[in-house]
Amino acid sequence: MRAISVLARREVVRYFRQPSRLVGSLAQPLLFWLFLGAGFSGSFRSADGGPGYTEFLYPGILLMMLLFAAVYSTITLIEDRTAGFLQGVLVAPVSRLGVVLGKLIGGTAIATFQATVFLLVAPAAGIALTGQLAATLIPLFLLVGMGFTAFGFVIAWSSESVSGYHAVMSVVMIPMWMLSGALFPMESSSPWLAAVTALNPVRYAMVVVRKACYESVPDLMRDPDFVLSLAVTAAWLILTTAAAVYVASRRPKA
Amino acid sequence: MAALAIEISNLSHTYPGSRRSDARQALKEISLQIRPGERLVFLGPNGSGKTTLMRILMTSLPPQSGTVRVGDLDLVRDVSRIRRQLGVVFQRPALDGSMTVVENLRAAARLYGITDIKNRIDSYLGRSGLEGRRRDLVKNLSGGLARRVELVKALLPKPRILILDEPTSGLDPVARRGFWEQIEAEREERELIVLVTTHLMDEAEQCDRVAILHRGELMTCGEPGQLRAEMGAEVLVLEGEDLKGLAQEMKEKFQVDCSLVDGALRMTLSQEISLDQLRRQLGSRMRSLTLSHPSLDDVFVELTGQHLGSQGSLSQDGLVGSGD
Repeated sequence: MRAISVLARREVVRYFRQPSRLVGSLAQPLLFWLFLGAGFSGSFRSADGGPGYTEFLYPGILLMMLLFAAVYSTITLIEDRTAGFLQGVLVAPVSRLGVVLGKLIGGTAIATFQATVFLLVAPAAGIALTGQLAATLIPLFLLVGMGFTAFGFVIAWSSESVSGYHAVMSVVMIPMWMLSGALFPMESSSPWLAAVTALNPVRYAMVVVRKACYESVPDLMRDPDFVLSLAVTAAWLILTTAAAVYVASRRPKA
Repeated sequence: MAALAIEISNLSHTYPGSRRSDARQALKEISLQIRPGERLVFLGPNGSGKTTLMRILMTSLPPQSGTVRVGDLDLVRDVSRIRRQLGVVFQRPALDGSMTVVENLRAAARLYGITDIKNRIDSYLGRSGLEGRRRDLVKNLSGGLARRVELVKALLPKPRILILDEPTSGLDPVARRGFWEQIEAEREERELIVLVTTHLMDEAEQCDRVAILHRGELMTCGEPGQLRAEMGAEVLVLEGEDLKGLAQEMKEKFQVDCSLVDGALRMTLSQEISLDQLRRQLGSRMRSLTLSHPSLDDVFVELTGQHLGSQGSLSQDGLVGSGD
C-alpha cells in the first residue's frame, strides 16, 4: 500500500511540474478536433439526421485524449530506468504488485484529469455539460484509462528507450484509435473492417464513452451494446493489469 | 539485537549467451564469510564478477546456484525481509532529479515503511550538512552533494548492511572524505556491515578486509596489512630496453622470478638485494628502477597479473617467470 501511494503521487507531481507536457497533451487533441471537425463537417452526413461531424468527432477526441495520456504516462517508467530511480525502488521492501499499481494509478489519474479538462469544451460540440454527464463519464475514464495505462506499462517495461517506445506505440495506438469508430461510424464501414475491429479493444472503449455522452445510467444499463462493451473494457483492464504484474515480476532489464 | 553476519557459499552465476555473445560465467563457486560490523571491499577489474556479486547481494539479481545467508535468513526465500535490512548506494544515481532533496528522502522513507519520517529526515540532513539544501531540486546539486543525498537515502531506514557500488567515483578527495566520515559516524552508533567496491586503493586500505576477485573467482580475502605482508619484503619494478633479456638475467644472477606488467618488469623480493650490485649488473639497459614496500595494488598485480585500474590482460608476449 505504501508503495502504491508513494509511486502514484510521484507520477502526478512530476506531471504537474512539466507545464509543456500539460499544455502539449491538451492542445494537440483540441487542434485535431477543431481542424478535422471543420474540414469534414461539410461532407459528413449522419444517416438519420443525427449529429454533425464536429459533434460526432467529439467523443472520439475525448477518447483519444484519454488513451494517449494513459499510454504515454508509462514513458516515465523508461525514464526512471534510464535515470536510475527504478533500481532503488526494485531493491526496496515492496511487492512488485505495489510497484505496478502505483504506476497504473498515477497514470490513470493523469489521463482522467486530462479527459475531464477536455470535457469542459463539450458544450462547443453541442453536448450539454451537466453534473450527471461528468458523474457518468469520470468512472468510465478511470476504467478505460487504467486498462490502457497497464497496456502501456507492459510495452514500456521491455522497451530500451523512449524513442523506441514512441515508435512502437504510435504504430499500435493510432490504428487502434482510427479503427475504433472515433473518426467514422464503424456500422457503415466494409464488412472486413468491421470484423477486424471486433478484436480492437479501443472500439469497445469508444462505444462506452460515446453512449455515455448521451444516455443516462439506467438507459445505459438496459443497452446490450453498452453492457457488452463495458464488459469487454473491464476484461481488458484485468488482462492488461495481470500482464503488467507478470512482466514486472520477471527480471528487470539490467 | 544479535550480531549479523553474511555467509556466501558456492555462489556461481552465468549470463546466458545470445546470438551476439557467448554465455559467460561471471562468478565461479564463491564462498566467503562476512563478519558482523566489518567493512569489506571487493577489488577487481571490469569483468571480474564484482558487479554481479554486488547485484546478487543487493537482491537485484537472484542467485543461480549456491546460497547466501544473511543472519538466519536466506537471500532467495526471505528476500523481502532481507531488503528491510539493506541500504544501497548504486553506481549510477538513483535519485529523482526533478524532485527536491527532501521529497526524494520522504519517498524513500515511505517505501521502507518508516513512521517518524520527519524527525528521521531532519536528523540525517542535519548531520550530513545538507540542511540548507533540502528544498533544492536534486538535479541542481553538485556531484558530491548528490552522492551525500544518496547515502542519506540509503541510511534512512537504518539498515544493518550498507552496500556501496563504486560510491565515490567521480568525486574529488574532499567530497570523498566527507562521504566516508558520514559512514564512520553511523558506524560509531551501531553495528553496520559495509560492503563496497572501489577502484581507489586508499579507500580499500581503510577497510577491515579486502576480497580480490579475478575472472569470477575469489583470489584471496584478508586484512590489507596482512595481504601486503604476505607479499614479501619489497617490490622492485624495472623499466628499460630488452625486458625479456633483463628478466632472464635477474633469474640467473639473483634467483628472482619476474613478470611483465604494463610494459615494466616487476618482481617481489623476499630477501634484500644490493642496489649497487644491481646497477653494476644491468647498467644502461635499465632506464629506471623503483623499490617499494608492497601496496594493495602490488598484491593485486601478484594475484592477477594486471593493475587494478587497467582494462583486460596486460601481459604482452606472455609473462616471463612467475605470475601467470
